[in-house]
Amino acid sequence: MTLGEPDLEALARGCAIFGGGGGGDPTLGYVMAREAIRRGGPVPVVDLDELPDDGLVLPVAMVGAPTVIEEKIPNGSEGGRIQAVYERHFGRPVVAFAVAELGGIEGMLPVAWAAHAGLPLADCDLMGRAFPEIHMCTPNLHGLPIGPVVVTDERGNVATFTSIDAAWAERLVRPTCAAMGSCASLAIYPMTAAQARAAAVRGSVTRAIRVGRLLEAGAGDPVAVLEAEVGAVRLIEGKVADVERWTTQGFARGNAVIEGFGHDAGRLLRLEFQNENLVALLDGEPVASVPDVITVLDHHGAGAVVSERLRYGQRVTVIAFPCHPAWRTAPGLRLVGPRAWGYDLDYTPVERIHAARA
Amino acid sequence: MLGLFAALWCRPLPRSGPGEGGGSAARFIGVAGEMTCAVARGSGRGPGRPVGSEWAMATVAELLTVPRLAGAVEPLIPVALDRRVESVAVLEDLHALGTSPPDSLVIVAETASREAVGYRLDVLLRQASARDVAALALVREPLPRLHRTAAELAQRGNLALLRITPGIGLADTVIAIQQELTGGVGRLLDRARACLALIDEAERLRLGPPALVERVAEALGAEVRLGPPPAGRGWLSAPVLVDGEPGPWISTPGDGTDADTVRRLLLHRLASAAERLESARQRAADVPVQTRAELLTELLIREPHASRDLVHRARQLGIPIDGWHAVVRLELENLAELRPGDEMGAFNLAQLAIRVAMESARGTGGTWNRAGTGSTILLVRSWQAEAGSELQAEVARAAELVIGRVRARIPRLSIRCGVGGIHVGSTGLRTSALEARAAIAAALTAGRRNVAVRFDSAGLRRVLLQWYALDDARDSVARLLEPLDRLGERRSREAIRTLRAYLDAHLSLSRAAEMLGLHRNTVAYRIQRIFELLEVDPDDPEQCLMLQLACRAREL
Repeated sequence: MTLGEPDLEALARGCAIFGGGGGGDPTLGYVMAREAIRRGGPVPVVDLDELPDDGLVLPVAMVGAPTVIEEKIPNGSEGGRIQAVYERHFGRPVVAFAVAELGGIEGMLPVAWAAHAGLPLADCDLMGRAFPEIHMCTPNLHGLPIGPVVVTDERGNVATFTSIDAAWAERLVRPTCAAMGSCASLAIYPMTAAQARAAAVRGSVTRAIRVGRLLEAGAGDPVAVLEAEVGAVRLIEGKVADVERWTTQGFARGNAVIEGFGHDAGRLLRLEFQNENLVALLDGEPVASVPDVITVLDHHGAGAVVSERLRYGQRVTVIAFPCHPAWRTAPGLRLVGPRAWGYDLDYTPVERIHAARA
Repeated sequence: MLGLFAALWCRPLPRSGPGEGGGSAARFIGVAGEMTCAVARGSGRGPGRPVGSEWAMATVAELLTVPRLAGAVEPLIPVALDRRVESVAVLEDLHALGTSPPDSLVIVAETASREAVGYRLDVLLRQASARDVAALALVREPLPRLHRTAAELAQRGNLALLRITPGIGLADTVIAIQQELTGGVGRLLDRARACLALIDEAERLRLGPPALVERVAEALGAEVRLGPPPAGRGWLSAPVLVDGEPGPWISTPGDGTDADTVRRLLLHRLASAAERLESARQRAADVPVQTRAELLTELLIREPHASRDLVHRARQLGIPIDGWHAVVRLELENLAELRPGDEMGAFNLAQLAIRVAMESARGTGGTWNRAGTGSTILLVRSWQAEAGSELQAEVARAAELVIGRVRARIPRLSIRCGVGGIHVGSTGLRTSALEARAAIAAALTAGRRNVAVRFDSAGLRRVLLQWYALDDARDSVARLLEPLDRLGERRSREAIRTLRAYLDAHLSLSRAAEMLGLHRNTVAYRIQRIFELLEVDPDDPEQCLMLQLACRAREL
């Protein structure tokens, strides 16, 4: 398919749903992608099968605190700078950009950079959702190297890291990101199309657009739409009663309390987040946790509310839906399960918790 | 792996009655999630609960007052403080809550408490509520604020959430709570020990008996009363002796067991402390009163011309010496009879009468000071502004009240009481004292006891008649007025009439002139002449009083 200006809104809406509270507010990415498409034309979204096996695919993203990204905006040249570094490094051209994480601004910026470069966007991502750390990608589970990792900022600074593993890359990139002002652009897991077919989450971009369109169309209860499309379950409908938020080590951390109303009256949901929503506890009982996706929907508009936009008094519906199956494997849970975030909880798939509670 | 104290919990056995080995308690202890039972019992609410027995229990609020924990345990939110606690458990591993029994107080050990923050506290509270735990106590520093979800979960689960100050021994805490839950002599001894420390502290701080009793009641965890011994059975009481006489009683309910011995010992210790504190309070309160009393006594004894410095000191001491005064004189007649052969006892009785008299007089309002020595009490009512003679009736009523109160306290005490008139200044004070004395003389003649006799015109006439009937009195009057009698009948009568008006007007020339319908200068001239003839010192109240009595007696 070709991604033109009319598709951007659906993609932004879908990215926000899959972002699980993270990935940053898609509005900024939407504006940047729209401008890029207006200048460079629509972006072809290609299936990985359409790309040559040895074609270089470049997954790109923003790294840093979403709260900072809103004020420290990329200037649009970052993608081209990263592309040039890789083409020099590998000695061959990049055939497509890819979305590193499907969430908020992270799903939109690759569209802008692809439009700038005149390259297609591969229909995949590396998470099937958004995670706060760069090594939390499915290629990590397939043993693919994360590097070289190229980090750049809007000033033109470029840093390249060749680390011994993905965790080290995260460790090295995070302080650089902090030095660049807690927000930077980067590319990770440069890989061939053949590698991507096995290691990436395929069809993410088109799925996000489809979900976004369904919600856009206002086809009844958005939760019912998401239940049908992604297997979502409703955790609570209520009002944001309390938000604690602090930015530390390049992350936006905190928790929010949602006080139920309607048939959820008398219930309290505690939502823990670190950029993304990580754990939801209903009246002290865990009802969803990473790696499953926990998303806060605006009660009236059905759009997703990213964690940094949660405000006291908002009327919201909190949903959760299953993550990509790769994350439910033992290596996947070791990497992104609740204990990987320091939560003293065992992972239980959200649909199983929901079934038990029903 | 669970730690040694992963789950230690103790439940007291049912309290047994006297004669059944009361006070002893068995408990069963669970370690690391496995239960080792010394004596296995069902839970307080389960089917295994013995019929007809009563578990020893305490509310969460009561546990907060356990003396050894005082100040070290506080509620994080005021919820479920009225919940009954049956057992105490220590939790070292947050996952081991599943072994805590219902209605228990679960103390989360310090390391685990550090982990019990954020969502973990929520999970812990939910699990505790699901197990019907009565209270969770976290060992931690004060929290800046309790998260909304934790507060809500505690409230919904009717679960008390407490904080224990780090550093307090966990074992001591558990033992203290367990003793409280066990009840019986162990608990009482623990609390009595705290009470004794409190009494020592109170004596050092010189607290008043009511404050002391209030604190002891709190530390004892039982009602303690200060006042008359309560009617009804089951109360243990000890008297507080004040000045050697029984004052209020200190009482607490007993239970008819051996524990009452501990209660009695504590009551007597408390009563003796209260006695010392009350005596100290009275001594402290008496110091200025005593000083003023000594000064007034000396002022009334000393010759007028030698008392100028005393008047000055009286002013310095705040005695309104320049104002108007009325003196109530009380003579305690039979102290020795009431305490035969016991001089100390008689002295104490006099002191008690003085204290009660003074307190009663002050209770009627106005400024009162006292004077007197031994068995004679002079109560001086003073006014800054001019006081009319109508106030003398008020003073007499106060005197009646004083007599009633003193005799209520010392029932067989016989009192003679005279009430002087109202006069101005230090001379007026002496005059009133003399009038009070004269009134007592009249009371003595008339055989009147335990009533206040006023030195006013009605009373005086009776007094004078009785007095003037005596030959000695008639001779004294004749000798005193002889210089005037020598002036001839008409001039003598005129001089005596002028003199009486002057004396009745409290030595005021203007008022005497008004009473006689003469010019002030005329009166002044006559008075000067009269005193030259009589050779009487007009500044000597004793001579003036005698002169006044003589003038009045002559007119009878």
